[in-house]
Amino acid sequence: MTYTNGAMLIKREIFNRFAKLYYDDTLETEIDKIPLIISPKNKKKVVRCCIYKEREIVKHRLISILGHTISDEMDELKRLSEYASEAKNRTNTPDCRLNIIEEACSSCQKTSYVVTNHCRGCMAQPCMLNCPKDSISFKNGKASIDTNTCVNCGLCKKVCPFHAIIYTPVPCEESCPVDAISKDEYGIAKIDEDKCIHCGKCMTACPYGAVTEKSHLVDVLEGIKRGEKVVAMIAPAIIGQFNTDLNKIMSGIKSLGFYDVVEVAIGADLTAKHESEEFTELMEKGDKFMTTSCCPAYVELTDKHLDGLKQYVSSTPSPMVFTDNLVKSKHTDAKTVFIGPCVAKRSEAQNRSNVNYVLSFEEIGALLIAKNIELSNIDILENQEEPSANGRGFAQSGGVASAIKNTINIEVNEIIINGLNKQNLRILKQMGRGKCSGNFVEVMACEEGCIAGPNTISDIRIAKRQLNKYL
Amino acid sequence: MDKKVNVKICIGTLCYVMGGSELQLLEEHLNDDLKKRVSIEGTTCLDYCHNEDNGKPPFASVNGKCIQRASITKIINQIKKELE
Ligand code: FES
Repeated sequence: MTYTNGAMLIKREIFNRFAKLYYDDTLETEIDKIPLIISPKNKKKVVRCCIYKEREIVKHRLISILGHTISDEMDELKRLSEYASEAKNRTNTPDCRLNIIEEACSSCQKTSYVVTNHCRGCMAQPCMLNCPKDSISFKNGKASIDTNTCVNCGLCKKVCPFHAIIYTPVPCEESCPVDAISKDEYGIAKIDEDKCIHCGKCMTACPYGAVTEKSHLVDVLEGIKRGEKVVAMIAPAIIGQFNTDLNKIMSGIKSLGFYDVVEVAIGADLTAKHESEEFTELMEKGDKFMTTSCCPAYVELTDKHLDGLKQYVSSTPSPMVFTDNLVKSKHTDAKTVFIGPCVAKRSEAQNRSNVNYVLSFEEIGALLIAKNIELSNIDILENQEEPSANGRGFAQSGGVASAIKNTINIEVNEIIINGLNKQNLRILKQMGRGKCSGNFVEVMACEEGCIAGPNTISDIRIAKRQLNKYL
Repeated sequence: MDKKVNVKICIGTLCYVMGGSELQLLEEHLNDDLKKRVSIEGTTCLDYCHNEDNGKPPFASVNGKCIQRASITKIINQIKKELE
């Protein structure tokens, strides 16, 4: 779950400045100034070691916003303005691999248990006596852990009567459900693409904002400028994201120059219908259970890590794919943009669908801000096609299961996997061996569902409240 | 004893995107005593954001005083100061 934090706010500030320049048509002439504006010469509170490092990080963040792969950088003197014009002229959409801003990565120390100076060297010495690896000794009257033999079991921390031993994790590694992120020999984070399921958890976990997406902003904006039929497909999770009615949110997005704005919940209605039919069929055939297929991080998890579970994943297309088909059957020359809270949708868009682009709520927020669009003051859109409450409910944990239950009348024993944490992963592994206590499994990689995805704006309590008004 | 405090919370798009959403929960964080003495109003763009001297969003105002990087705690602290 995302909490307001400094790393997130600076990222959004940079997005906002970027969007402003784009609309002022001064991107190429002014973009090199953004790092200096964020970290000016006389800056009082420097977060990093100095303003020069900060500027370098901002520069790399902008390279990523321009959709480039940071590790491709060959010439460090290459200016952002050059990157910007390259971005404007490219025809290939940036790929879904996450970027690591190496300068931003603080090379956090290896995960370990550390004895703090609260250790009083007590008489009981339970840490030493209970350590299964004999890694603790007492030096100068204080406990000390031998990191060469310690296996991070955490027993010493548990038994210390003074809470003097603490656990220091590496946030990105700790957050990754599939061990795809680790450190190279210099301590800098690296993502193993063969393992990464693009859930985005490391991106929100890193307190330095070192993990970032390659944005499609320039590609979308250029398409609109060229007069293409760029259609926005908004994820149902958007309902909780701006402080106003859904219709006004749609109207605001449309006024950015999109040819049309469509709710992905309409596609979700189709997913619910097809998935219900598929489920009924499979149950009649005598299958043990079926899992949902709408969460792209989960689908990638089964592809890359849980081979045994793959056969149980529903073959019904996701709401995004259904919506994309609908849009393109109406306008064959449309370019579609999925607007959502999700990092993994970039991967789905690229590898498993015909969707052209993906934007996050943050990115769309930056565009609204740059254009000075006040959502609550905007005129509403007439005659919008409305999905059912079932479709909109896909945005939160439990929503897909209840949509299925509302659609069919055979018995549904649902199991809800609310977030890909360690415990739920164990359960999924079990299911891969055919062990499942229900017949319908809903999986969402994000705890609480898409409304708490990595690219959400609203506090989760507010987001839920707003969404439930529409259910 | 009957002092009243006026709180305005910015629900403009900028402030909302820059972390202002949780300010919607302000009322729930006031104790009964404060609840009686505080009026909360949500307004679109308090116009603080157009001048960088005002600080960073999200913005709120308490009896007309600008609160930058507003949080529920910051606002409540200011309310208490106003009531002193
Ligand atoms: S949007 Fe909040 S002060 Fe302008």
